[in-house]
Amino acid sequence: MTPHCSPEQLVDYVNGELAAAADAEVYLHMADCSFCHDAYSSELSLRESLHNFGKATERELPASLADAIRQAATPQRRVSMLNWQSFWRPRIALPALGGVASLALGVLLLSPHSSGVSTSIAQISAAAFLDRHTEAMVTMPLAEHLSAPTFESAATLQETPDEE
Amino acid sequence: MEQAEFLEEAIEKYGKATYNFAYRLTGNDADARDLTQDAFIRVYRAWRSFRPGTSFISWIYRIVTNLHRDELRRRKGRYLEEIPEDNSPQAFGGSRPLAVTPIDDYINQGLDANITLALEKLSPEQKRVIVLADMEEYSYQEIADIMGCSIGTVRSRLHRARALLRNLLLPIREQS
Repeated sequence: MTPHCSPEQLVDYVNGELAAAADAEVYLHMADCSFCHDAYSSELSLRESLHNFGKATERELPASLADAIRQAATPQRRVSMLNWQSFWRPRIALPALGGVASLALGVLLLSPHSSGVSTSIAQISAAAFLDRHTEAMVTMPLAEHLSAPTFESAATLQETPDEE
Repeated sequence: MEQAEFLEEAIEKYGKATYNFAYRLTGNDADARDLTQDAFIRVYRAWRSFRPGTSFISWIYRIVTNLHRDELRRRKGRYLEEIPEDNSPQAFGGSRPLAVTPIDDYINQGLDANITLALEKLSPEQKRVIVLADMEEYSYQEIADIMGCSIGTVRSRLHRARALLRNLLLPIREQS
């Protein structure tokens, strides 16, 4: 070791950051060197002053700050709840997709001919409408300005041919 | 544990330490509040990334350190006016034990004021390392983790900071 400990060595020594061998060396050196021992005492005193200063100026967490943190965090939570991206997470998207698929399948199985029936009614209604219109044109060729039969009334006409 | 529960526990256990750390870095209440709030919001957002068993305080101190560094960079070149405080440290506001004599109080007040002034002479990096090493007594490794640098950097910053404080404070201390 050099005649005296360096200030850096003493800082590390005070902070307990020297390796074991170096620590022991400084310790043994100070036993015989009053200069280094005084320097060590000053360094220790400075550290204690800083530590005590830290303790003396310690503040309590202001309650208003804790509340402000909670309030600032709350909108974050709402946004994440409403975030549409969360819908695409597998654990949400897969059950939702399965539900929609099974609902669609159920509708198809329960009413297999519904679409065919509605199509045939539309075709019958349209045919009756055209027949009625042709008939009107024959009996009243110049009555173009008269209102044409409505779709509703035409729909009722699908029963009329049987009555006649 | 839920996110809100995690935040609540973090505020309860580490709110005070985080606020004090922020206060020591910034030196004023308004900035310390902003820094603390921002740090906790980041913790709240990234709560899933926290691994149980690791040091929460090191994590949040690191966030505070980074936020403070960013803020200083953002403000660089601007004139910084010290914010007058109506909430200045109430070190002797009744909670102090009566065993301390008025003379000790007088000396300590003077020393505290000198420490405050001396800390202002340090660079932000040096100040951080002094706060962590001497006031909060973290190891060099923990400080390196918090500051995101090597132990060698921590060591050299601390040595320079201590040399500066030694020159500023020890003569005053010896006089008193």
